[in-house]
Amino acid sequence: MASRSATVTRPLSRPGRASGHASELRLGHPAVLIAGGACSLVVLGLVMILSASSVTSFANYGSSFLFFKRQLLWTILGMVSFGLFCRIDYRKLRYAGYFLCPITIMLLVAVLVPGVGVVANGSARWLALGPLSFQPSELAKLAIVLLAADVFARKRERMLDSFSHTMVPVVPAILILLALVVLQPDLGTTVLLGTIGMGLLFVAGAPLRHLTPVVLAGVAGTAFAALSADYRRARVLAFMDPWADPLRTGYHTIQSLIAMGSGGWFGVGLGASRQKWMYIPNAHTDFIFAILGEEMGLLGTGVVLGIFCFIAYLGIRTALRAPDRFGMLIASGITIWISAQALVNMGAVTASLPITGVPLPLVSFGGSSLLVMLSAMGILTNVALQGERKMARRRARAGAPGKGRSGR
Amino acid sequence: MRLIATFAILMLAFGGMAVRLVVLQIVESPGYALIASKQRESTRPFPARRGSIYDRNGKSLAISVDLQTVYADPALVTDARREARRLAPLLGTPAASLQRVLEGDPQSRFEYVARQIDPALARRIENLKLAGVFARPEPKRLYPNESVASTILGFVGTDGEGLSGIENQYEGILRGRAGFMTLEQDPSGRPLPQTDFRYEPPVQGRSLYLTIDKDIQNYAEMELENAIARYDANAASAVIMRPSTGEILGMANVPDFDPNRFGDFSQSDFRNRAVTDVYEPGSAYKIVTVAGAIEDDVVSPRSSFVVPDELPFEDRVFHDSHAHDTETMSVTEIIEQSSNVGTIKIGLALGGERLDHYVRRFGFGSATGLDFPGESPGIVLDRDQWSGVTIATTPIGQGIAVTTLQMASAYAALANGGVWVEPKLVSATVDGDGSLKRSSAPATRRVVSGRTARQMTEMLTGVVRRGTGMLARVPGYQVAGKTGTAQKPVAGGGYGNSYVASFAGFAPAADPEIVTIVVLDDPDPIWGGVTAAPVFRAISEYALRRLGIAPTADAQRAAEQMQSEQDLVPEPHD
Repeated sequence: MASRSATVTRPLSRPGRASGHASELRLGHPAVLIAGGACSLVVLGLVMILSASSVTSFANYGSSFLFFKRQLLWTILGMVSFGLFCRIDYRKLRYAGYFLCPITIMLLVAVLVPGVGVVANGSARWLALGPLSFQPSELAKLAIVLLAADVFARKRERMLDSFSHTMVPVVPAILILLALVVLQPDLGTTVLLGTIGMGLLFVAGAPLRHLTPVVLAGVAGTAFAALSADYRRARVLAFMDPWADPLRTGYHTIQSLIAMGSGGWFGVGLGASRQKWMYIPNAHTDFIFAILGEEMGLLGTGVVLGIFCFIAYLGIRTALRAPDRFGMLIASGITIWISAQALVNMGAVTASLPITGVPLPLVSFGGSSLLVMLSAMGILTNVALQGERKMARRRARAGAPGKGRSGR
Repeated sequence: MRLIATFAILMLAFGGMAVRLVVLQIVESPGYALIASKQRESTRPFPARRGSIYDRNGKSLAISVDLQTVYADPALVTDARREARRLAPLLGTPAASLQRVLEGDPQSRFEYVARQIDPALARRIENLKLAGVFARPEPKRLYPNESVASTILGFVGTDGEGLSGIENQYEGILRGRAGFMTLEQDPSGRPLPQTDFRYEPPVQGRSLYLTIDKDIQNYAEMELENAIARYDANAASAVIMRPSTGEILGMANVPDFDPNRFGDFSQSDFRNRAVTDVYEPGSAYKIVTVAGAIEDDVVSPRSSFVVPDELPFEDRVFHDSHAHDTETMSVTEIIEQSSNVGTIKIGLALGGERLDHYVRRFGFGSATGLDFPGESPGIVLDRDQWSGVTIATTPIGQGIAVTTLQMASAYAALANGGVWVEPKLVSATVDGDGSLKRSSAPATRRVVSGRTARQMTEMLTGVVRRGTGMLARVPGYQVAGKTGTAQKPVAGGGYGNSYVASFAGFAPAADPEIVTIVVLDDPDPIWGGVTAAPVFRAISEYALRRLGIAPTADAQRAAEQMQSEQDLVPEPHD
């Protein structure tokens, strides 16, 4: 297995020499398209971060470029990681989940320890890492995908008929992660982690009779969490009617809508956002999509939405053509992750969903989010690459005289 | 299958988001753009500097100074208590009341903290950099001479609009137009870069030059105040004007007020009584009757009438002011002695139709054209409203009401060789480019011939030389004038026990430079020749000197010369 994967990845690492697969990296290749889509979002994100953060950055640190430079550093790290995961055979990651999950749990516990976790805006989400900070809950997303993909890949679909087989050990592991994240507190990421988990259960083929109670329990748990804390209840109420208290609970939503609404077709022009001038807090993080909508209008938001849509399409396509069940699960898990996160973020910015504090994948300011997301995109690219190779081989066998049927 | 379903769910969600984006950014866009501009746009006014008012020599009567007004936007105030405590010592206002202002009405984005304060103090407040506290220019009107000419100037309210007098009448010229700047600002009120702003510069108000001479005005006011004290009068007015041009050199009224603190005075102190208030003129009005009769050749100055000291007419009996035997009096003597009976006889000879004609030609019963706020046209009965006795009351200035300015203009017509000149208070306006624009030439109309005017002047000179107006003599100048002592009508008809005393006249008689009238309301003693004449003398003397009118080297000789020209028998002086 190891030797086979080495031959598979060689064309990518040294395409010039792998003459047999010269066509593999043509422009329309799904792997190229995924990489291209991800890179476009990252570049667009950098541009928007520079625009959106310049005011806050200058006001707080005296330099307009502080946040931009920091993000640039993370982007370089993220690109290296992306390249690395493109080359590493995803099958090598089969056991990664079993290491990553405990590590993530430890880190999440550390975040909760007073004095260790960095507290900002009332929740402890970060670990200081020298000049940079790291958000372990981002890692949790990848951990869940890797763990669930391997577990469900090992279990035959038949075994999923049993409720306990379906649930153990993935669901308890996920529940631990959810519990730790909700304690930060970070309900948005918790809901996202739950969605990724449930999505994987669904894709893995868990019977609906097992899935339904899990979904219902998730919805009930979310509703309870949303209404149990005062600030979350206020957010839900503000979502229902932001104009009820436009200067406090509804402020964020209204300012975001004003930004989006004043964008129109083509926006007010790159860099010309008014709302970034202290009207929208977190303009470069969770609300970067609003600034993008203001500066570039429907054209900009449409392009971003289109790229996410395209990545989702490519992700599902990759899952369908994955060489094996693990690849299929990993591809669909990552696809559900990036799509759901993008939708939750855009939902908050457009007031279609309550505000939850989830960054826009690959675009928002935030190093750990970018690094983990780019790594995941690397893995997805690798699955796509190998899936296409396998299809190509199959086509080649089918195309060869007399081998069309024997290939099956 | 599950993958296809997942894909379908994701695409459905993305599709929904796409619809949401179109709705938000295209359909609802205009609404949000409006909210956005309302939220960010702020219009800052740039008040126009109100034009100054100067006297005829360029002395300031009213000026505007740029002060600063400190205001608060309660929505931006972060800590009202702390900010109030820092402001209190600078403004000398209790911190508690400042805190209430800073907390403000939650809907309000604007509250005054301190209006029209010293710019240096405003700068110190700005340097505190208190959140939500700002300063902006707000000019304040200052009247450096305090009460001088106050009833002419009027005053300006705190919001900069002229509320009375010239300030009100010439609001359109003085005020100018405030400019504004509309710009976009961040939540703490700092202007945003790269944004559009509209700037409309203020149009500064234009200045006015009045015909008033500040010193004459001031002197007249002082004299009136003294007279009120001396004669225990209620009020007094005086007008000094140039007969040839209609320029009003002084128009004094007592009581008056200090326009810098108009709030401390009562409404009645604001009135420019010389144009807003009417009175029955009495004897001073007899010039109309006599001038009309001479002009129509009904009488000449030497025509004689048999004059008893009382005359029953219709249901009334008219008396002369002092009892005397029935005697033959010339028209000149009737004027000099101010005989009511004689004047009534002249009026009867002239007839109601012609009398009414001259009343109106002399400008009574209609506004002077000065167009001063609140100016009264006086009260003159139309011919068809005359009762049987009106033909007897009108010649002696009863049953008729005039303003002080109307009387001054009537005397000015005689002084001006029979030509009535519309009075004016404004000599020039300063245009936007700084050039002086003179007021248009006043309207004029001939009332009586030059000959009639000359004869009237001669008779009025006699009034001062040997008649009822001897206290009006000005050393070195020949004065022509007439006393007036009229009972004040009381509400509901009839006459009461109080009087209006007046003296109107001009000097030098040979070539009149100034017309002066002094009207005292309810003085004690009541006689115009006793109370108003000395005030007339003082004001006229000052004005003649001030204007540099050369005294006649030998006024006496000049008068005699004039008399011989008129072929009059010289009478012994006094």
